[in-house]
Amino acid sequence: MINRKSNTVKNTLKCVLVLGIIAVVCVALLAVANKFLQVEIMLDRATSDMINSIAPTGLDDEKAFNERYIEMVDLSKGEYAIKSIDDFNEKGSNKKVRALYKSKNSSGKITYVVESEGKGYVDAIVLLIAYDSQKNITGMAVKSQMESFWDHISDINTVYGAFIGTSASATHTSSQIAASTGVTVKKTLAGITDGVNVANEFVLALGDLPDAEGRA
Amino acid sequence: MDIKKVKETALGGLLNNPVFVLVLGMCPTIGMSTNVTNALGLGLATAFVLVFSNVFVSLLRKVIPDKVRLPSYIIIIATFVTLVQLFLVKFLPSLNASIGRFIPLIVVNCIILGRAEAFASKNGAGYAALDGLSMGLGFTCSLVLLGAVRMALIAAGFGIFETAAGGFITLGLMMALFNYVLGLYRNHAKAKLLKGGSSL
Repeated sequence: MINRKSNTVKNTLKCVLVLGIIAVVCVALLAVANKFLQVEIMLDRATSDMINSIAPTGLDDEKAFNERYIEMVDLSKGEYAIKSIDDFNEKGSNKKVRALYKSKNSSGKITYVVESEGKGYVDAIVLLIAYDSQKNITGMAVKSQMESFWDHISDINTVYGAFIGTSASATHTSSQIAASTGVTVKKTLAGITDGVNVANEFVLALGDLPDAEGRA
Repeated sequence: MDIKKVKETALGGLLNNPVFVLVLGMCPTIGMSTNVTNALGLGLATAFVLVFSNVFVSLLRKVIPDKVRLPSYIIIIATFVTLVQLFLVKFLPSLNASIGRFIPLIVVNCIILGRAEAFASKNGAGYAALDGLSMGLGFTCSLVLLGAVRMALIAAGFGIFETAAGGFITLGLMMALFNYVLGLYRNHAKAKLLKGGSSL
């Protein structure tokens, strides 16, 4: 009987050990793969066109992109209070900032666009939010989403309207936005609200934002 | 090397086609066969996971205790599915936007777990890889064929074939045709065997 018991314990330990080793090896493999397959955020044409629609340069999309009237900001090179987006983002949080862009019009006036994300019902909802130098939201667009019930939002501009004109110092709740817009898809709205809130926190943490730049 | 076994394994994807014969992986089959590009992408992703998970399950078959074989297989399969997802996000973002939702479902695709359990856990790594490749390509070809037929019918103005109902109708008809042709082949092979020739 003692032998049978010790065999059962031995077998159980073997099962746990084998499963544990397989799990550890797989996690290590994925950690290595993740290092090499990480996506670097870059300004592509599609993103530039969206930025040109919410923070207009006054030029056509092609010219705005090619002549770098819209560009990604390297925080380490500017006079910003945050030197890296990774330093700002909370590890393991569902809401985070992905990138900062600048959109300059022909007279040199700058609008800042934050690319942020919040967790919706299915996955991340990625937003582009435009701020003026006074840190008020002047424009907004959804860059990407995979929400199952996105069609239930009859007019996304109503949702944008709830945020545009507000200051970065405002903290929004999805229940307030739901009440003012009539949108009922709670988790999707929560994802959008989180994306805006984290972008607001980021903009506040950046410090002063210059509103113009000399440009020929 | 057993040539007969190699031949049987290599033809497995055709004679035991996972979609038309075994009726496995129906969810991605119906969901992703509205478009040939998406069908090809998902099929190749599934084939990749099938080959590598089969190989690893086969290599570890004598080490994994019977009681934890299914959780072990799932961990191995999920690892390769995650690798596929990371690859798609990095190098093929537009394809990921189309089929990304179905990639995690590969983990619970019956084809993968079924072949791991039925074949890879009982055979060597070489045969397991060949089986994975054969089944994976069989699945891919079925998906692409179904996608092409549905696309043609949708382009001809039959909107119903864009829906799941249309998908099932197309699948059912193609399954019937495939199995009819397969039956003819098998009867022919049987008749040849009875006459003293070799079959398969």
